[in-house]
Amino acid sequence: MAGLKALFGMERRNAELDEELRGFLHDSVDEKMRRGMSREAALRAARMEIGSRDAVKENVWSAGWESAFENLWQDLRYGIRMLVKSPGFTAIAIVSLALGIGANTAIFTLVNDLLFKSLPVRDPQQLVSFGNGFDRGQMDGMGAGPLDIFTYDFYQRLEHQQGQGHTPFTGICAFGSFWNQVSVRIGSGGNGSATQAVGQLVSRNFFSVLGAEPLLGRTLTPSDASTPESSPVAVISYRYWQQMFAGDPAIVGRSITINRTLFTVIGVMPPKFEGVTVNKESMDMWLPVTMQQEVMLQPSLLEQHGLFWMHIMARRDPAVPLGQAQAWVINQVKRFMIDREGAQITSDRRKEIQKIYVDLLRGDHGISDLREMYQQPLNILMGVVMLVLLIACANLANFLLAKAATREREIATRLALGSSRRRIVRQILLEALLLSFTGGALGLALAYMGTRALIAFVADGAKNTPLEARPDLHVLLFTLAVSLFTGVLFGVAPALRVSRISVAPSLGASARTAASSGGSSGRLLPKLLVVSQVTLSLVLLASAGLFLRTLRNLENQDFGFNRRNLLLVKFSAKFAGYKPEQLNALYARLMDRMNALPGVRSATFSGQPALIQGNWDSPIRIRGYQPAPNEDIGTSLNRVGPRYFETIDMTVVQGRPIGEQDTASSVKAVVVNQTLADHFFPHGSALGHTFTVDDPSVKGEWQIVGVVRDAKYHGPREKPERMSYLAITQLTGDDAYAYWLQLATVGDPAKVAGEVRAAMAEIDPNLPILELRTIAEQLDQSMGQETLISELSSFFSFLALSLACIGLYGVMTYTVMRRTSEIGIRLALGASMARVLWMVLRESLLLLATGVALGIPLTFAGGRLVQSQLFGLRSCDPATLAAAVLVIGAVTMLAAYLPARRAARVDPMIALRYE
Amino acid sequence: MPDKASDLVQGTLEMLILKTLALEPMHGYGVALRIEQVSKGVFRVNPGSLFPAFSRLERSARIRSEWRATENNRRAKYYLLTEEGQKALADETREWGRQIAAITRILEA
Repeated sequence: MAGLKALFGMERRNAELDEELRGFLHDSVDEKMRRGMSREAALRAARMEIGSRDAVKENVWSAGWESAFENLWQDLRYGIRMLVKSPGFTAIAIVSLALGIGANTAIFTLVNDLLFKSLPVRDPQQLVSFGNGFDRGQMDGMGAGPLDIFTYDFYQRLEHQQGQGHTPFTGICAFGSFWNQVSVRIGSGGNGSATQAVGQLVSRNFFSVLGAEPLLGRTLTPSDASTPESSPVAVISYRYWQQMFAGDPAIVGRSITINRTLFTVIGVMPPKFEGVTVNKESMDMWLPVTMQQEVMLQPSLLEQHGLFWMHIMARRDPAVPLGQAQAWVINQVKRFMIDREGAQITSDRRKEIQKIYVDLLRGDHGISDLREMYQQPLNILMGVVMLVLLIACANLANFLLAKAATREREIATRLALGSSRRRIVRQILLEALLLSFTGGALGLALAYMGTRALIAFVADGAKNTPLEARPDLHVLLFTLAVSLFTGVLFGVAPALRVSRISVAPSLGASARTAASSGGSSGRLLPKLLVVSQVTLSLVLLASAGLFLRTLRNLENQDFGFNRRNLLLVKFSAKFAGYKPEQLNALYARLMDRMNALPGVRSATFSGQPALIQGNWDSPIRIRGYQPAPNEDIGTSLNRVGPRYFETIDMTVVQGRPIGEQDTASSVKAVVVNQTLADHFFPHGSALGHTFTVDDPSVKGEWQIVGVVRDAKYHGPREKPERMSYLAITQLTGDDAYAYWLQLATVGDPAKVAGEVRAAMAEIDPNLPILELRTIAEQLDQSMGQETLISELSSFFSFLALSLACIGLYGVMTYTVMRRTSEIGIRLALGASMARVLWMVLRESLLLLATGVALGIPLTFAGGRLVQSQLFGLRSCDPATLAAAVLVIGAVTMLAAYLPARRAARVDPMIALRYE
Repeated sequence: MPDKASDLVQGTLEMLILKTLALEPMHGYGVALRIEQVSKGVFRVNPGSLFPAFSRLERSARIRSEWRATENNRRAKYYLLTEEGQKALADETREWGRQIAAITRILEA
């Protein structure tokens, strides 16, 4: 305490001390005079005793800890001056640090967004999710294994038990597993243009279980959403409120029309609330699940024996252990499944149901598709940028070592003048920290820009995304820690070196010979650092090569359809209010108009485009085919219009494609792919056989009229699967709606986009185009992760390589400099330039070889970690490794050659005199 | 006369200061004079060691200071012993005694 006061009262203290010393002098003189000395003699003697007044003050001052503070401040200023004196070095150092630290921060921000952010709700650690929430919807036949998707009536069962307090939770809520795109008109008149919004269907206790409070108005209460079709209310997000209603303060109570039904806005959520899902697209609104039919424009999913389509989250009672809660849930699920199958359940089915289980997973980070997709790639990237940072650190350590060596004289002088060794070491460390923190601050700025680019890539065109580039506390702390760690890491080596400097040899005039013959330990560390840089660069380059080739392998596959000249248009006749009976006329008009466009070769419509991530599948029953027990008798499904296969360029190998002749009154026609035909009809033709589809919306018996070549339907890594194409014009109800137009174009499909929009607007201005993209864009999107990883790892590995080269160049230059007099002697004694060149280069070659030798096994080890990301090649692929070694060899040799050549050109006389 | 005060170990000087102040509060020169007189000139403390010692003692709250008027009506900073300081003095005197006894035993062995 007294110390703190001393810090601030320094002025006063000094004045007081001065006064005390004056008094001391006075008394001392008095005493001496009393003993008989003359006044002048007494004065002189007393003054000599006291010594320098400033020295006394200095002693008093340094006795306290505030002196440490002032020393720190002095060292800081000194460090800044030293760094400013060599601006080139400082600039390179700061920039390479900024790149290294910035890269780490950027990746970490994304990782933080996806993995670490907690939901902004009450006590998020109490939340659990039933399963991981990746399934979207399934009909039946839930087999043994983990379950994460449930029916509405199962949820109702749980809710009923919750009301009676029979559960190990304090609340259970459910929400739709997929978000719904809805057509919204502001205002009750139903006038004005329609916009699209994204909404999620939630149970009435969704907000209360989460403990999420609204910003304005209210959220759902138990009285809402009690029966189907009740409670047309909406809770909207903050962003939606700002964007669509301009932050209207009278928002509560306003009417909006969602898909032709009038809804009332009852509340607005705070800005940070994004629901429980962290996905590409932010949620605009939350709607009661009882309004499901109006929101999805589909028959009810709420009845018994309905679809499995809801996710469930619950808030745990802290007093109940997790295992107990999980056991209870599994028990409930099993009983429900058994009840659902009814009296005719077989004992086999019973046994299968016993194997169903539900994982109770932590819910505090919500459910995220993105997380699953990008977790591995992000982890890999995190490793990559860490390696880049290490390489940058090695560079800096080398540079600082070199600088410390040139400052040997200065340091030895300071030691001789009485500075403590510790102080000098501290000062070197401080310089290192100055560099690393400045680099860190700059890196933070770079990271912000980089993260924004990353998010734009990951979100892939979503209008609004919950991912944030702005650094939050976690990210700032991370950057601080990394900067600190980095500074200490590369400051330690030179600091240690300095601590071993001894005074006498360094100050002597013969310092140069001592230095140039050089302690071998002094030269070992830089070499070690360069070797490690080469090793790490090799690992990075090889990995980048593997990822690039993976991407190429994925792209170069035969997808089974036209990859270049296809335009995909998503539209919704449902939004525009078309009834199923009006659809055929609409399709006819669309086809006529599109085919008439000059850039369009052929047009078709279908339920799904040639490549899309979602999946519609169902078991089928083939007439005359007896499936083996436990045989998978399912197929993926698509519903297509005439000229589908011709438009997307899919080859028909047998029979005929779906065409105009397939109408509502003719035999129901289906085209299957080769895999399906081979599986069910291995001997003989599949044509003519019929089957029914288990999915209740697909009625009747379907006859196979054609077989097409296999293709990829969902993504580049797909294994061959069965596919059946139903004639869409022969489907009824919901399935009659086609959502996609596909247009085969003459040239670049992007060029036709404008005309297509105009044509659609001509046909019906109320018909909204939900998405419009080329097949190439669709393919790119399906390879998003791979593209991200390969582009970024290539970028970072070249960055690392550049850093390593700069490092090698620096070290070689310095080494050569130290051997200048030796070189001069050799040249003077008659050695040829070539020999000198070789002598210097030999050293670099050795470093390179060592680095590569260490790098190869490391690459193999690392490769095994990323094997799951690769496609079409093994991680120990020799060609990639060889290429990486070649690249590194070439680049490092160049970096070593330049200083070597300079050395060999040196004039011997100058070299001999060099000091 | 040889200035032996500089041979005094840091801790010992502080102990002597505490002892001096235990008798009565004194200002800086007074303490130096008293130590010189009582030790019959063996120890002569110069300000370069004295004032840092005062500073350390003040920080550890073993003495406190206040400005007073001296006999000649000048202003001087007087140091007083605190309770903490009294305890410390007792402890250190005891410890010092033990060390002396041990050294004596070794020398006479």
